[in-house]
Amino acid sequence: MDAPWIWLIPLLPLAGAAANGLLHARFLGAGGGAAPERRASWLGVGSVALSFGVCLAAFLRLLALDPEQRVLRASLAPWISAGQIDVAWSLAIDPLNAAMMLVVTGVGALIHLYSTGYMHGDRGFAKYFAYLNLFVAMMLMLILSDSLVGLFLGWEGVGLCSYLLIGFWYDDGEKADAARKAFVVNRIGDLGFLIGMGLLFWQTGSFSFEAVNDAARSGGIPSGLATVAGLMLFLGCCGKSAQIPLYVWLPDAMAGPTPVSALIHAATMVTSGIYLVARLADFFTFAPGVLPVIGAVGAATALFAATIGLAQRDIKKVLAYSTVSQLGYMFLALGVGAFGAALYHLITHAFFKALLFLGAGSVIHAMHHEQDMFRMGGLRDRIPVTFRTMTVGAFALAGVPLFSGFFSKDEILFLSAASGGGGWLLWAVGLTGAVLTAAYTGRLLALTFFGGPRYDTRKLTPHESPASMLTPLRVLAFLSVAGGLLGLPFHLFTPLHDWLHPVLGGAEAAARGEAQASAALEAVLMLLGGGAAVASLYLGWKRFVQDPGEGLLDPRRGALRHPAAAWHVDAFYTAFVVVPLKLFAAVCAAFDLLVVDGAVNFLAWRSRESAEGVRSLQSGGAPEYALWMAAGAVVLVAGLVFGAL
Amino acid sequence: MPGPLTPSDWLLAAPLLWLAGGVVAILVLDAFRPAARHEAGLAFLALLGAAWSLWPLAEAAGEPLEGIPGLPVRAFSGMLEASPGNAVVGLLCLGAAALAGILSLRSLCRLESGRHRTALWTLLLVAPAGMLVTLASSHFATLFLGIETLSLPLYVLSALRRTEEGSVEAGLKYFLLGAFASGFLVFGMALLYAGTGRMDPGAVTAALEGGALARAGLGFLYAGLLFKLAIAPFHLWVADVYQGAPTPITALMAAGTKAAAALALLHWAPPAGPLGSGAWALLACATLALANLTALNQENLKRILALSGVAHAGLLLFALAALQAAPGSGASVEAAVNFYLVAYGVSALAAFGALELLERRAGGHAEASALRGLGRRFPVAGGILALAVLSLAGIPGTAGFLGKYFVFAELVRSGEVGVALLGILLTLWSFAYYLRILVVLYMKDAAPAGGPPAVQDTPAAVALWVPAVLVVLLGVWPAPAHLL
Repeated sequence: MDAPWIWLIPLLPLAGAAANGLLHARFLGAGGGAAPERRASWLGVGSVALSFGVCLAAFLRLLALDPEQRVLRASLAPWISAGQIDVAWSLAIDPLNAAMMLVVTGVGALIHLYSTGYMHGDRGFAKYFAYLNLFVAMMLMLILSDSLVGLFLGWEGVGLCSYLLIGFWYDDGEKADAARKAFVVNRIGDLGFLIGMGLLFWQTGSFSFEAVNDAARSGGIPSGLATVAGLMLFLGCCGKSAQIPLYVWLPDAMAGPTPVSALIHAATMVTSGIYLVARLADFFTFAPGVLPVIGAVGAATALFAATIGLAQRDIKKVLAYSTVSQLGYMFLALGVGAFGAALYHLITHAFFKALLFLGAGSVIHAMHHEQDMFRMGGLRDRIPVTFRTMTVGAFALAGVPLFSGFFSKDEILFLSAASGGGGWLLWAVGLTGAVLTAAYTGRLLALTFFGGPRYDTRKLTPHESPASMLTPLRVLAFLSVAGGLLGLPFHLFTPLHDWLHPVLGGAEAAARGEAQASAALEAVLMLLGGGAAVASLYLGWKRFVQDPGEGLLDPRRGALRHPAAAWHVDAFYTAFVVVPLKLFAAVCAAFDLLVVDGAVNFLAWRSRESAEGVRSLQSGGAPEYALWMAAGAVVLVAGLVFGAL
Repeated sequence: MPGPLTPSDWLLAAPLLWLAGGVVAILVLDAFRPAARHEAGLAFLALLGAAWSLWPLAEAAGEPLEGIPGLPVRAFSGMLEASPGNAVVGLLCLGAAALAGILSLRSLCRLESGRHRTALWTLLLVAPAGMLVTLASSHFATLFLGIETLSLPLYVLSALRRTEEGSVEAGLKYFLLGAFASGFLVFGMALLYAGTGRMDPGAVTAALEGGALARAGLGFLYAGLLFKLAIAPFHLWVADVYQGAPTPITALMAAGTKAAAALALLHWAPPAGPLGSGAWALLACATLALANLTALNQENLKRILALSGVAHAGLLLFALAALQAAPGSGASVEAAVNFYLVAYGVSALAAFGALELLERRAGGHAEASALRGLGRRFPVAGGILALAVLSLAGIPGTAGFLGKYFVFAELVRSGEVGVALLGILLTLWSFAYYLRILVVLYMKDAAPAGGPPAVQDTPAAVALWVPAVLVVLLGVWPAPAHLL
């Protein structure tokens, strides 16, 4: 049904961004101050909170509709109309993106609130909120748009905001580099996205998701082409959602302010790839060979990033690799056709990973911007609220039974094992990753909150963060526990799946086929997974409480030196991609400078030389001018008379 | 024979009557009650009245006017003929005169304690009257009358700063060479009449089919017209005259004279076929190349803009080449020419007008060295000049771009793709000196302020917005001026 008011959802944060931008321009150079900060906070938090309110209204509206007809549409105006291409500014909310928008605006509002405390006193306070609001607006455009073009607009928009916010403290060269890296790596993925989008338009004549899904269902897309298009789109997802081989930008993206890491680089933007695959679930299901690739890449990333997470010293880097790893689980779920499970994990992950990042932010805040866990220790008495809430988040991440992460991850592992074919292999890889996840989570807790202080206690007295930062932590801690209620095992209580069923049910049935599994198997796997997680969490905690193990990371002799160096992937990329490209660029530059510029400069020089010659015509003498005129007239007349013209 | 005036006669005569009435009123008033304000007011009233009486025709896109048979409107037994598109160009000429007047309010009007102001205001009304007659002429008598009526006031106005050598030189040079060109024109008309017995545009066709006498006449006729349009090799006067003349007058010449002469040439162009497009294309390329080359090393911005005007006139000849190459393209070529003239006209008005304001700040100099960095110090005038220069260069989004586009589109449609490519390359060349103006305005440190502080000229600064806005507006919404 038509509901034009849903345009408010992206437009409110957009207006907030504009207002904050003006505020920033107004107070530029004024050096902050309390009044502008208060205004920016109200604008920033208020616009997102209002947007969340509208989202709730839209959600209730959908709820009131018949399950098969749950869709709200709003078309604002035509956008691009050229030849075959006809794209409008239009949104469509169905159960899938309704779930996403609630997460984005809800978690987004909490993180905005947290930011008012975290960014207090920063020179670019209003600018920060302008970017953050713009990000929310673009993210909402991405998930609410009803066509690939609108999604791409949001896709690029969030990429831009990510770039701006990673490099928010741009006078630090390293941070600016990280921003550039994120942008460039994402562009590689975007190229794939564009190619995929173009192929789909070529075959279906439309950019709308419905048309693409319908065409795929009815076999309207040749299978070879569908595979290529699907892989290309997945390449885009690999960029945005940080999967092998394009994950390298996300760990560096931690250079941005910590709330940004929580919102953009953990809870929302990086899940765009998951959303895209789920959005085009029918298409991906019917594109031969694409889902297995997605599943394999996801499982590999989940394990690979988990090993690196075990060997980091920077608290945010641990969480960053953990995000990469958890995104891998979501792709694993998509790969085995468990679209609903992927969304489930996406939502619980948004809760607990935002919580963990915000908690880490609170720790960093308390430690005066120290991020090295080997320089922390024993903080559990100093910052008790942060400690307690972060422990909840850590338990959820590790998959301790009854916490939300346990249910969602367990569902993914079970559905992988039950998917037939190479399912057991995927399950084994996933379980190993889960064990490692629990281990590095235990290590994180141990190094940060337990043991004795490893910082200079005379210089630094860690103190708890303000209420504006603790409230979001408490809310998210609650959600990290309660989120499990969205989908309990054994079909006990599965509101999220039932909610998504009208959108994803068909694709899931088609992708998973006859794969059925007994409740007994589910119970066994659950016990196995839960037990392994708890044991691993305890062991990891115990091992590192006794000895922080800084020596393990030693680049020469440490046992974990290879994962600590992220398996040297960055060095590999530098040697085999960046350096050759730079060499090629140098050759091009030389060609440009010598040949192209040379030719142009030669022409310019010749022109100037001839100009000097021609200038003598312009002698200023009227008789000479008259002579030229006479000559011209003679030529004209002669030409006409003798028929030469 | 001559009966009572028809509605068509009245329609085309009305603007001329307004202008002539204005002249008489100013002269009478000056005899009894000399006051600067009244004269300026009367002049603007006359220009406004002329524009108002021309408006119905300009507005009548494709629809015959009430009580007047068909379009284009023919008046005075066919001695004048004007289409709505011609009327739009006529409005441009009136606007150019008005802008020249506004720019003069605080400068030329006060010259030598204002003793020339009566001459200034009357001549500023006579010149556009001549332009209106010229661009609608379809008889030797009206053509000659129009050209002389527009030229004589400009000779005087160019020399208005009679204490300045450059101004006097400009007036004299323009007058001498103009007289020479008029000689060609009259001689050509005489031969044509002798050879064909006709004095209407049909004489051209007849001449091409006729003997050597008539053909020679045609050659002289074109020599005279090409002088007014400033086509190589009849263009050499332009740089000196434009530079020497007071800048408001230069603006009027650039926008108005060129437009009138171009439309006259179009009226008197040979029909498609017999003459072929090669000659026009050759003249166009030669003019473009020469003008661009000459402009490259110039130091005076007025001179650069003058040569840019020559290049633009050359480009216009491509439209004639298209007309020759494709029979039956008359209507669309005329539309392209009309738009081109309006686009160039508003750009030139904005450019010369803004230059006048900057010049005053630089102590009356238009040398690059005197104007450097002024774009930043005077953002409005500098910005308008920069915008106008971008339009003259043909940057998309400005009127100048679409003007060039329409002309080259005609050329391509007529099958002359090679010529079109050559023309585009030649216009690319001109970027060298257009960009140089921007460099001078914005990328150099400002010169120390020279001369006495300039008078604050609010009317001129406000009036300049009109062509500036039109440059952008016509660049994105060309329909109003792209008329047949």
